[in-house]
Amino acid sequence: MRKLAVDIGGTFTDVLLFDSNTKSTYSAKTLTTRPDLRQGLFTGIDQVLAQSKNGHLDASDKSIDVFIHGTTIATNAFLERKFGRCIALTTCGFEDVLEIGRHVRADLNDLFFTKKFHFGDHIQIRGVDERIDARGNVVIPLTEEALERSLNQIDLQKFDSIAVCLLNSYLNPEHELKAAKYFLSRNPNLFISCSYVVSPEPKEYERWATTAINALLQKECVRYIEDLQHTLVREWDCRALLFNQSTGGLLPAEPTKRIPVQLLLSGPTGGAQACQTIAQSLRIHNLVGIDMGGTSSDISIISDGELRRLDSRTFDDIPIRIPMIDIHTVGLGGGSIIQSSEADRILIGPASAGSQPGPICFNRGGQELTVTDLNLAAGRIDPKFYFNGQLALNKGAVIDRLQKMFPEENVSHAARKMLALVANKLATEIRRKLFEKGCDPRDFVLCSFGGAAGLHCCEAADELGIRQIIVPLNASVLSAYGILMGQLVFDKTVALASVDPRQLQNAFFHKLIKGVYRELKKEAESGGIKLLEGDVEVFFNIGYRKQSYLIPVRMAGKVLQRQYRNKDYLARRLIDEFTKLHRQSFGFTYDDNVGLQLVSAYCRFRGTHPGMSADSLPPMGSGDRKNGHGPLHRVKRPAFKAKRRRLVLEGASSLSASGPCFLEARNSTIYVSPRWHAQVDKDFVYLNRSGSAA
Amino acid sequence: MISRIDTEIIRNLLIAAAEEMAITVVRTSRSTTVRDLLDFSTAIFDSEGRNIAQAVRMPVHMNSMEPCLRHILKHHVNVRDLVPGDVIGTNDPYNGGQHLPDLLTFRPAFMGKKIIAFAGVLCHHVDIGGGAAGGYNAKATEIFHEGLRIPPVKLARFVTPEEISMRFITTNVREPEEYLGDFTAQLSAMDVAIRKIETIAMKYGKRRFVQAVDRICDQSSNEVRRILQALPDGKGRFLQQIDGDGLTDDEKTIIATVEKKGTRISVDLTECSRQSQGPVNATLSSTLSACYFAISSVVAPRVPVNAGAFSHFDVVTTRGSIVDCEPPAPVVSRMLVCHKVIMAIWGALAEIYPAMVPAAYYGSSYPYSHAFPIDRGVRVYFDSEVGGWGATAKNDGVSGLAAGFHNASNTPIEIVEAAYPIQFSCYELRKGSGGVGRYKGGDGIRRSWIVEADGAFNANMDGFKHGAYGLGGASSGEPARLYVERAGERIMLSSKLANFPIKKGDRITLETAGGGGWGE
Repeated sequence: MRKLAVDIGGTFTDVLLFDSNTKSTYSAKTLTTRPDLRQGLFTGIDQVLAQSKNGHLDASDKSIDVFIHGTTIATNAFLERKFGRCIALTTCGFEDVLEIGRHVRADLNDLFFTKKFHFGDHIQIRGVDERIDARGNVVIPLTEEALERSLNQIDLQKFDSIAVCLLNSYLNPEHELKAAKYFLSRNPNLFISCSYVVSPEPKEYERWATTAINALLQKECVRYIEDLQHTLVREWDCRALLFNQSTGGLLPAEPTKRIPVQLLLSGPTGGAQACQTIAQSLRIHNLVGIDMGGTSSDISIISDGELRRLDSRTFDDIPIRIPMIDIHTVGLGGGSIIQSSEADRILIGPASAGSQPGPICFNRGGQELTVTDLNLAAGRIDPKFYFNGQLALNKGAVIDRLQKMFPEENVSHAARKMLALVANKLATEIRRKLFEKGCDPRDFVLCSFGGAAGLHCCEAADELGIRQIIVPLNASVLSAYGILMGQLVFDKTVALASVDPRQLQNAFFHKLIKGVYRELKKEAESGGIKLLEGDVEVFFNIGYRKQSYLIPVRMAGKVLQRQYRNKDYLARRLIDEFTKLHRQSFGFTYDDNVGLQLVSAYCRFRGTHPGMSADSLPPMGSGDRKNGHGPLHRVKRPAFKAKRRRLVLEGASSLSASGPCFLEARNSTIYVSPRWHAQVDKDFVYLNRSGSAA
Repeated sequence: MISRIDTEIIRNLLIAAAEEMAITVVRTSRSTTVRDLLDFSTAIFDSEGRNIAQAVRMPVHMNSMEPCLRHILKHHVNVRDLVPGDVIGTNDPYNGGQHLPDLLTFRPAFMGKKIIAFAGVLCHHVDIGGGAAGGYNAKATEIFHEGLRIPPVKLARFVTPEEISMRFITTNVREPEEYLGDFTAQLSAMDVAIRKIETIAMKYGKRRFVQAVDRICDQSSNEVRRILQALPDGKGRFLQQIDGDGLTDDEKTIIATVEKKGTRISVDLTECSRQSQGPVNATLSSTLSACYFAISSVVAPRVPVNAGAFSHFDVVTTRGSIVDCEPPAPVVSRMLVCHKVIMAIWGALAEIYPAMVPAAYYGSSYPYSHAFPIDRGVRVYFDSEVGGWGATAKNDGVSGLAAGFHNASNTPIEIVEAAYPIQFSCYELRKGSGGVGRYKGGDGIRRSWIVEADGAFNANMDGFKHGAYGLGGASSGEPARLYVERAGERIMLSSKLANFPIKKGDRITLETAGGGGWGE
């Protein structure tokens, strides 16, 4: 049985192959190729297959059983506006809601602001006479004549997709269903996105914008998925294609084609999932993951063993309201540019020098000081080791630049102080993210990965009061690893019309889960997947009456499906949990007479696929060390500077060292700052802080 | 002396604290006004009351919180009497507040026995009693008609409201549950910030904390001075009209004379009308916050806002005028005066720096409220709207976009319909309402709704007579209008209404103003 995980990112395509017979994994990293992503993908797959056969590629044994894919196809289509031609059908009188939006502007002082939801070229908005009220009752019935009138002079054959966006449809989908049927009867090739399916919750703008983006993405994503399906069958006789979703689960190709908007975070979610796997295998309850690359850093949070989720976020100022893993991206990476403003301030990022022209030290014409340059000037990067020693760095140019910027200061001192600012910025973002979740950073372990994180993790942890850091040694393909470890998840959000949970009996919960199960089961079976009725978790979105912000309260299927003597046991348990979380986050709770509202429930069922049996979990760490990259052994390098030691990790056995020192891993450096102690085993570097908190 | 890197770190931490306050308010508040319209602000002040960090919220509030806190510290509270957990609050325009619905709360942060900073939150509460729902009594002639006045007093300890004060307040407002809910959100937010500020001060020490705060303010002040030095000197004068004060249709005038000379900009508002009999008045602190926003958004939009950012601006007013009213003048429509002050200043600045200023925007927040009698009480639906943004020398104006000064959001239709006896019949752009020119002004908005119960309707709008001006020879936008359709008949309404009776089945339509155009 061979399972392949592929993460196609902006720069690199990571491929990870797991062979369940030999229990080994093989990895490859190739450059992403554009516009045809398949080239890079093929090279990567050939490489891992060759590794698995010890270099003897046997044409008869090229088969792959399961192909799991993390992709940026939706993200790129969105950013590059590679959209299909779309009609949005709204309730008559509300055609402009998508353009009006919510009024607010991110920059109060920008008098020349121009950006709003403007997809004018791609989307035609039509209103239709119909109305459902806020209790779900039909006020004006939707008729076929009304649909015909509103689509007057539109040739449906010329469109790719339809977004059906009607008011209050989250309470009663009757009209949206009817409209969908009508469109399909006129042109069966249309992709239809109904707002009650894509984002079944109140607030029309957020629901409709999400639905419209889904419809706009459909053409490009479906084409990509179908191409890939054909290629997989042809080349590797592979029929099981699964996609990593922003929700942090895997779905087969068919449902993915229906809701491609769920692919928007497909790639970065892999890193977050890998963090969760690491947290589970090391039995860490609270972990914050920081993936720092060249231009940005992604922060993800696992608290009480659960990856933290979001129910909406904005992409390019447009709200996308679907359940997703909460990944917070900060414009701070190795290439971030440092500016010393005339106003006596020092600003870092979000502008990045990227790889072209790159930092000053790359000698490729970069003129602006970057975080990487600072690390070089401060002696944290050894030019001999950067990028496995393949890139010669020009330290002199950096020193010259720093001297010009800070004539009154010692250059390496100035560089170190600015690095403290980098760590502080990182820490501030992590703290804010934890704050939003009602968490205290001191209860967390930091998981540092990505090329640049290791240089800053100790200092950032000091700022946060975090005392333990974990650096996975297969960090360079960690995202693909997370995707490989992904699980099949079928999910659905059910609107619950703000009922007071105090009135609910256990039977309500039992019925809710059964209903969702029945619905999702059909969908799963059509993709050859067995849905596990018992393996479900539900997030109840609940708040005090009249509060707009809802706290998601998680309950496991085991708890929800059991019978209890006490008829309102589940409701009571739910309310207790909510009250606890509210107090933890906001420092107070209301008494009983204020009342509660249960607005929606987000249900996630796990499924199984013949190729994904649980016993086939690959080992942590990269199996390719069997092929000569070998287990860790330690090489002590001559001291880089009198007091600083530099240790190179490329081999077996364990190692321990105290800061200040540097650990050179493949493709990244870890700076162990004073008071930190490093321990290395075959999979991780563990960093522990001694002494009192900073 | 503190380094500029440490200063930057402390600045980041303080801004994060202000933003965490804002998150807390959104998540715990209970009225649509605060949680959906986002009508609130959060900021942090030093021990003297200088603004040192704020969340990206409403300049109208933020610029006025500092004068309010300074006023309280000077006249009402002896700093030495304050102990940890004390919460001081006021809504009194004549004690540094804005108008009665806005409740300002402040809580000190301590290091040892010394106060090192204050956290502050301002929320627009959905009602504060008075002659019309929402406190929006367009026919008020004294502040006493506008609702309950809360002088600066202790209102809570930590996150627990003072029981007696709260009972006084909630007994006097139409929506006691929302009032208490949003007040609790204010307390919870300040609690979050105080813990954070105290941690920062502990880590860096009091001396370095104070040095950093000084340096943060100096940086903004120096940056503004540098910018002003580089700009040419000049002088402009501009006039704006207000439809009427709610009692009469006599127009009021706002005239701003703006002069840039060297490193200072001065605004002379002494030619403005005398204070109105009705509630179209602003206290000096409201007017100042409008002036500061108007100038800094044009000349120094990128400079971090804090006490230092405004130190190069001078404003002159006449006591007893519409921009510097005296008690007992009513003030609920102070925002309208502020909008007009901003546009008068922008118009004057456009005479000096034509390419740096957009044409006028809609110029009113269009606040309106409904009162629906329910069993033993009143249900209040308060809302506001925006219109078209002015065109610039580079682009058409954006349709339906909030001016940065109030940065108001809208309440989703599905949320309003679920909460109140209201059903909307349209929410759309008012096509063609923006001014014509080389660049078009943004369009206003049309929002129509049917009321499903008898009740009363209040409006404190403006710009029904004059549209938003165009610049460089372009035309102005369409003026706003408001009407009700009853039994097939359309009744045009005036911009200011108090307790206008509405009947089940009435359809009310608000058409907001378009922005001005730019260039011939």
